[in-house]
Amino acid sequence: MKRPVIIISILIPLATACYKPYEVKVATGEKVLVVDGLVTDQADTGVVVLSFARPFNSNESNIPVSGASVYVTDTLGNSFIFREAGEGDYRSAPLEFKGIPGRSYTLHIITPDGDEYESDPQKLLPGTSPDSIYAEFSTQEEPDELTGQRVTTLGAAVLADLGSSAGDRAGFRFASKLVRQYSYSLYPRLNFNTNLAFDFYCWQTIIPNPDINLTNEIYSVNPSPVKKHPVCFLDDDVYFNALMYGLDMNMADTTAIKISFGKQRFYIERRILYLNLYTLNNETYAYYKEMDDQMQSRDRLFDPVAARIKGNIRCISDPGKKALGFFEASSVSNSAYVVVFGDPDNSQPILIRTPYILPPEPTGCRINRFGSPHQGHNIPAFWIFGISQ
Amino acid sequence: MPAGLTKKILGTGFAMILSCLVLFPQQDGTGKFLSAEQLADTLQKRYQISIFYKSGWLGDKTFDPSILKLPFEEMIRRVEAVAGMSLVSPDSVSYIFIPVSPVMAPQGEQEVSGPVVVGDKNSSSKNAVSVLSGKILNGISGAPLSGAYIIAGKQNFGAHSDDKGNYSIEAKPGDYTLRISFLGFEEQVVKIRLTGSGSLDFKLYEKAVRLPEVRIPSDRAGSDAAGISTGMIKLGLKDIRELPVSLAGIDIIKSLTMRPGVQTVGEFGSGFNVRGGSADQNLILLEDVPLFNSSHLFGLISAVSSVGISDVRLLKAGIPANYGERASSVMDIRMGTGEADKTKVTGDIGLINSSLCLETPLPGKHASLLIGARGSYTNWLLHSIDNIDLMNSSAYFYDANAMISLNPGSRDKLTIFGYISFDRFAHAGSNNAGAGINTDYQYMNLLGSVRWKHTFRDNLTFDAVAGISNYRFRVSESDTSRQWEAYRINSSILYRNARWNFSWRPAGNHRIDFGIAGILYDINPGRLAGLYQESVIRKVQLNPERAVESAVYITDKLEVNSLISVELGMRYTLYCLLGPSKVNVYETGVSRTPGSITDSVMYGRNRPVCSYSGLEPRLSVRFLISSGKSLKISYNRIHQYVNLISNTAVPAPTDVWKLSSPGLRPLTSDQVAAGFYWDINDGAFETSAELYYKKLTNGIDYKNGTQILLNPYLEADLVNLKGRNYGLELNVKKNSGRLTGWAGLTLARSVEQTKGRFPEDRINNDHPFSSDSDRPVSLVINANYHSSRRWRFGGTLNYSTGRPVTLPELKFDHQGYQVVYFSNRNKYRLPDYHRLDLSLTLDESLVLRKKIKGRWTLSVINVYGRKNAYSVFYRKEADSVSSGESSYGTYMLYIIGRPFPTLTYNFSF
Repeated sequence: MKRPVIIISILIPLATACYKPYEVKVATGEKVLVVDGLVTDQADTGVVVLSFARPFNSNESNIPVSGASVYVTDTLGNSFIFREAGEGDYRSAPLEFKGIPGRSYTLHIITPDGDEYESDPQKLLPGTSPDSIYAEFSTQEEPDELTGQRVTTLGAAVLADLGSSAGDRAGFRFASKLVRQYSYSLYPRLNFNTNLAFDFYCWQTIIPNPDINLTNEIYSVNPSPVKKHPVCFLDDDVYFNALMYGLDMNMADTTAIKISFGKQRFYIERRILYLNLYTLNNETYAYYKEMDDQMQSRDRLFDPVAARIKGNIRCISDPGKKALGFFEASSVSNSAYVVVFGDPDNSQPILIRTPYILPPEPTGCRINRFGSPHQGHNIPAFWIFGISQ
Repeated sequence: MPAGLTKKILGTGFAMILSCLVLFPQQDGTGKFLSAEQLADTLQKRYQISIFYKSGWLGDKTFDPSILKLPFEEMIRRVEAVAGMSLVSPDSVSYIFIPVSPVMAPQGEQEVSGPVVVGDKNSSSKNAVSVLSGKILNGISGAPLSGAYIIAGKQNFGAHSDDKGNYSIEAKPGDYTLRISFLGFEEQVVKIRLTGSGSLDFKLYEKAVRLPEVRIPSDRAGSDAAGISTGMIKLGLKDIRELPVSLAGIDIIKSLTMRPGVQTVGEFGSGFNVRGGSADQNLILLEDVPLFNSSHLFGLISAVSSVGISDVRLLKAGIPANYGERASSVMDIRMGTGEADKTKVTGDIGLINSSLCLETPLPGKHASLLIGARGSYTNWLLHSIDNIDLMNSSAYFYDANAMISLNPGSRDKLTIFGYISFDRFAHAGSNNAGAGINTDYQYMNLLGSVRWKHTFRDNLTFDAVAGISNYRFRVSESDTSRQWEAYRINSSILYRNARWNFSWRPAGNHRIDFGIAGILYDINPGRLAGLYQESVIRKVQLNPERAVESAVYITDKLEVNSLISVELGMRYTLYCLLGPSKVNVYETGVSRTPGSITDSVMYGRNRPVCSYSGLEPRLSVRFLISSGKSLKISYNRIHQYVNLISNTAVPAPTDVWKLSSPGLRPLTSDQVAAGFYWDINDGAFETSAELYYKKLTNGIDYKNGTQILLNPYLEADLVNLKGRNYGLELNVKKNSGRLTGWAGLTLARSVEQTKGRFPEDRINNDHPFSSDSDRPVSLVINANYHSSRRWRFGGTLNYSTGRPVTLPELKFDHQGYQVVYFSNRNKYRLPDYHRLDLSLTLDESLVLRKKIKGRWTLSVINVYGRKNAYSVFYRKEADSVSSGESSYGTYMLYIIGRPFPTLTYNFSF
């Protein structure tokens, strides 16, 4: 027997620690209201989503709670009604509500069955903007889409410095989205007139960092300027797989879109990074921290014992009734950047600030009919021209 | 036939001899008294053992039949004392009486008194040549010994035996001293008076191994009906040899966790739980100094090697007043005596680690040295595998100890002891871009003690101990592609103690121990620093903690009469937290959180911050109902001023030690225990039933989501609770015969309850809940079958109710993230734990001529490959929250999920 085989045969028993699927038999029949609420210092952003908690091991999607009465009050006694815009989705009226830093907001809910719920008052802290957002060459390991094996990907680490204007006892949360632009042209099958070519402006949105991205990591004990806080990682791939759209010839509107070709490989013309920096009060920060701990704690030895996350919603009509979720009041700072790889000066990736204009939907496409009277009218507002990769 | 060795074998079976006796040597060997032969016959029949002895050694001594009513051990001791006999038992089946105490007869000639007459006395003729003939045989098997010599000493003539063992010598009548010898066998020296031709056979016996260390423990584990202690487990050398085998051979601490009332969370995890107490409530003393982390490889193997250990005692209840500090138990481990009269080397070689121990006298004969070391070769194995991750990873440990014993005078003894253990577990990432070790755990124990024992008078002794124990932990995380984030965290605890103890025996049945003790704690709760120069990690140093604990104690042990023994003790402890310290002042009317801090008070170096004190009464009473039956009760109170704060399911090296402070009152344990002890069938079986109730006050638990490491407000994240632990422990033990072993059944509960003023300070809304160590049913059966003098089969079956766990019940969304909602704390249980381990041991040869004695042990752990749940965790099956609804899978982590063979070779020379 060769030596490695002998060694492995000795070590195998040492490495028998493993895991196997285990069916958890837990009590899941309880119907518990869940509140997912957020108000910010930006207009038209107050959203409260009501649903019922799902059994842990079920594949059910959200179970919305419709027909509830939802409103928010502030410390001055103002009251703002949130109306149901979709099933279980309650929103403040446009131009009616905008959070004012320094005030505290309380969420009130009366469910269709008459139960009254209330959140703890949440103080909206003044927002802050990052001192600097920049990118550095970096690598990341991630599973290969085809083989599943871990491979090293080259790309950019997006980093943030902030804190010079941060107040005491404030935490920050980054949320990032990456929009990848791609485009192509198609000619309708029955009309080969070059003047009638159709340009497709498409995009796809991904969340580059699916984790909860909080500053003040566990090793940062006191609030202090944050340096090189990792926001997300962006790969420098040249091509990617994305949906290819076609024309729906049955529609009178010649710009109607039909997804006809499934996913194809496209050249990435542009990358736009959208960042939201939330300034969190203590309770909100603690809630996200607990969520983050929960998300990070699986599958390791010596992990902290799992614990339930403490929300700020309670049932005031029946104190014994359970309620989950959190009502958050946070200031938010938005910024957007075009990501350019391969700065000719130092081969480092760079970020170029651009107006914060979100795509109309996470993934989509707009068709511009070349040569038509409406040429250029249907190009998405966020679309970036003129910056080379 | 000479009056040689008489062999008596009356079968086999269980032979734990426990009755009591009184031995009365008599001049008159008739009548009601038993002869030596009758005594041996009776014992062999009763206990199914084999007894070997030379009839001449006991001569015409006779014994009172009441000897059979006394414990075997006591009988043996009295035989040794009165007749100068000693007894060795190499395999618990065979018992060899020898006339030298305490070790076997010296090697070499053994003269038998009185000449053996050969030939016809009346027909003696001085001038005739007589022929002495016969056989020389193996005394055990009866096989002829070919080539054995028989020589007449002074005359220097003789012969050797042929293939059939026959010999023949011609000699004139007269007195001769014959020496019969054969390689590897004891030489016999026999005086004969040759009066004519005749026949005389000789039986030679293989030279036996010296077994000075083999002794019958006078204080047997958990079944000492005569002793006063409740809840005590004691292991002597012989017990240690027959302990169940674990991953790295014999593991004393792991083995003790199989005894009633002692549990562990599984194959992994540091420490153990005694009667519902947490792991930090156990005082593990190694030569009088506490060991703060008793495990290697995160708990797979104990940090104390069995090689070099002479004695282990675990006290679960009725803890005498000279012990304190920890609320639940005391494990007192003693190393080798250091009184070796010759150099001895022992060791073992296993698949994971090997150890070596040297015990030797030092020049001058007044000093001896014991030095031992153990190391693993897992690192070498890892690095030998052609895998970049494994080659960059590390997993190894070592420990070493040394003890010097000096005897400067007949009344003084000085012992110097040192111990070190080190563990490193580093996991390397598989980043091809050059990232090195990602996570690196290192922890170390460093212990030292000096003990001086002085005898003032025969009934008054004094011993002083000064010790130090230092536990250090370090974790670092690095990624060469993100070196600015690489960091390391260090924490440590430094413990220094001194103790003076006096032991006074005003009468034979009365003993008083008293003394004082002092402890100085220095804790570094955590220090964070960057690993590299370009690090952006800001240094963080949590305030160190310092405290002094002092104690004065007295224990009075009195045998009131033959039936009642009482041990009454009192210990008074005074604790003081010292500066430098920053004490936070919290807002009243709300739960303590970092946000409710309104002020803080600074204390200078060594300034008293707060103090606690308390009396700790101790009481143990034994009532002897009849021979072999006793009732015992005990009570003890102990204050504990240092706690291990843990929010992990099992104790981990990352856990933080914390001293009692203004906001953290000392833990107090009150335990009442009562037991009934019964030695059945004259001691063939030892049984016991113990009931206990232990109340813990000011226990500590953490609030949900508490961060332990580097938390400057840790005090605010802890909640007080009360613990109730109660149970019944049933134990039956069989100590001798071919089949030995024990079975222990524990029925127990361990429940905790908070009484929080505020919702944040409540766990499970102040309802009682199972503690992490709550195992209602636990059963362990251990058996050893001695199929022959050297071959031994062993098996251990371990069953216990599953550990309490907190499991996810519901899920919901918040801002695009899926959140899991967990049940009440410890609402559910893991599946029941059970495991069977088997072992086959070839014990060392008993042949003295062998210079190296070896013992092979082949064991299979988890024979039927039970996948015992170590923990249950969940995993999101879909990676991205952007992909919509995620489903979860729950998984069960197990440590040893298949049969795990080990092979260990123990040796000594």
